[in-house]
Amino acid sequence: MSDGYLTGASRLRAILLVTKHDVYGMVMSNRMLIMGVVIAFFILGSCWAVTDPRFEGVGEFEAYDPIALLFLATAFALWPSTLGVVLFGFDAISRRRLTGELAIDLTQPMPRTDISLAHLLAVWITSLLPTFISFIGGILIIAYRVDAFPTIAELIVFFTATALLLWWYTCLQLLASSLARDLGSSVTLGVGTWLVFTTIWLLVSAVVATIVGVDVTDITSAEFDIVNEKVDLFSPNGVYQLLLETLLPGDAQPRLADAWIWLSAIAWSVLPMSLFVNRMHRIKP
Amino acid sequence: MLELSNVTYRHHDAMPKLTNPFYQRVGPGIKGISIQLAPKKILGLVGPNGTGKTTLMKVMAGLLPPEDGHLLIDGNPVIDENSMARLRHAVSFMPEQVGWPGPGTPRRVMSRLCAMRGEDNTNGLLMLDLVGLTQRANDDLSTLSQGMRQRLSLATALLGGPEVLLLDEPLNGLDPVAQAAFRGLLRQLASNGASIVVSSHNLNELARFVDEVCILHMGRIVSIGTITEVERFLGIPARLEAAGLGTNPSAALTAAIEGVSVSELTEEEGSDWHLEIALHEEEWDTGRRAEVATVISESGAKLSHLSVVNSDLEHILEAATGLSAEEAGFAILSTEEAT
Repeated sequence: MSDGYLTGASRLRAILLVTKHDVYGMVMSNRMLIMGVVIAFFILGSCWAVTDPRFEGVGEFEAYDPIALLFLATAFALWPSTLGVVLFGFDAISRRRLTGELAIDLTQPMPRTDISLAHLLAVWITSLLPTFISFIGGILIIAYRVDAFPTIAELIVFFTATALLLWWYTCLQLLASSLARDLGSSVTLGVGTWLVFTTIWLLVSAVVATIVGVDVTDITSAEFDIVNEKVDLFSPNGVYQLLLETLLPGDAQPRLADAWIWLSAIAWSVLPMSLFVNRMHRIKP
Repeated sequence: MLELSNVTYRHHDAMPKLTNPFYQRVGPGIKGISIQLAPKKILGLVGPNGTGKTTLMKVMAGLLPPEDGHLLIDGNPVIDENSMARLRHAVSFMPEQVGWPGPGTPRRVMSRLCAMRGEDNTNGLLMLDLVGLTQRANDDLSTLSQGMRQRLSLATALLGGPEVLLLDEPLNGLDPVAQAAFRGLLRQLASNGASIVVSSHNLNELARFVDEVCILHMGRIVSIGTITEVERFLGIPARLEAAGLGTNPSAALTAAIEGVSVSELTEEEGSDWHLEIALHEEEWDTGRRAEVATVISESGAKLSHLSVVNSDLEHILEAATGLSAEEAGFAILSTEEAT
């Protein structure tokens, strides 16, 4: 019997097998039964609504082509998906810690980095499944209603951005779950973070704009827009919206350079994950 | 083999204050523990609640890093990934009362752990068979009784054939039949070369199957050795319990056997006398016991019961600390809070 950790393909296989087990457990849970329906309802409903001839757009933005309509739908549809990550992941670490299962996991001959990655992948894939399936349905609704499909390139960017957004929330939620010593604190940390980024981030933009001397009474002004986009780089939802805006027609494109947006996306993908993995190396079950 | 050299670990309990929300108080733990586990031996870890048994086990399992001292595996300190990997292969830990809330089945639990270890699923099923859970392997975890959950925890600990098995209060929740089977299994594992550590606050329960005991009090080792060695180390005399009919043989025993002291115990139903016979600085070997029986018989009394008395934890704690059992038990918390 080897006395070291698994390496190479065997190591990757072990991570994926553990992920598969955890995904199965979450997919078969009552939580998925509820969240799956909610996510599908929101995404399919949003896609149906934004393609209604009576829909007048959001603010001054009106959409006619399929990817722009999909972009508009995400304004409503991403709420339950990101909340789904919080609800799937809030007890991924904290509950196992409370029940003693984490202690058993951590005494297995598997590096803690790999255990962390398996947890991340499991929650991420579990929340991706209903979201992606619903978005595929949403795209078919849009195609049916406007008789046009987004291009393959547009779909790749759209699904990549959506997957990244859920990854960022997964990392944040599992970090919260590993920090909390009880389920209540874990869900409070997760929902609190989610609320900040989904509902009150505009307030943060307004405060920053006020501090730098930009008029916040007109949020459609170019000056406010620039400040808003810069502040959005520090929010997962903001970066997600900026990524999708790169697909839109000229006047709806972000004012920031694409490089900044992708740099921020990379930072969001790496930093919370590193914090979580680091936390798992220090966690005391 | 596994060894602890002068290991100290203190828990840091979160105690948020208005002025410092991240304030942590140094809580109980273990201090200056040195212990070497021997193969083919079962060591019982005994102490009152909160004395550091679980903490010591978690340090041994590599789950809690020593603040001071070293954890050594095969003589090498566990300080890097390689030595940690060796520890993970060699040492297995069964926590106290794992919840196993599910969803899932025992089969899936074992399959997941096999995946983590890079082992074949059949090993997991073999372990389930070993602990008698084959019939329930596909049942939902929520339907398992507490005893079955304990058996599942044991199955997870046995996976991979560990050289060192750390079991935290493993007998909790097991029925007497399962306890007997469990003791037999541990003896078998030990005879196959494993080193086993079992924690309990019930010394009499452990006395039935451990080779040695380690008495912990307030995070420190009070004494370690066979129960008899521990008793003598703490100055507790070897004791016999005797009961019978007829004349009370106390005086005859004290006069006939050197170094003996006799005290009266509460009378048992069906006997005229009930005595505790203490022998200082010697053991009650077969010859000595026969001598007692002869003296009692010659004194005109009829012996109906004669057995060696093992000390319970309260007795040993009283001897070790000079406090009453209650004071010794509660001293753990009050003293730690004062630090």
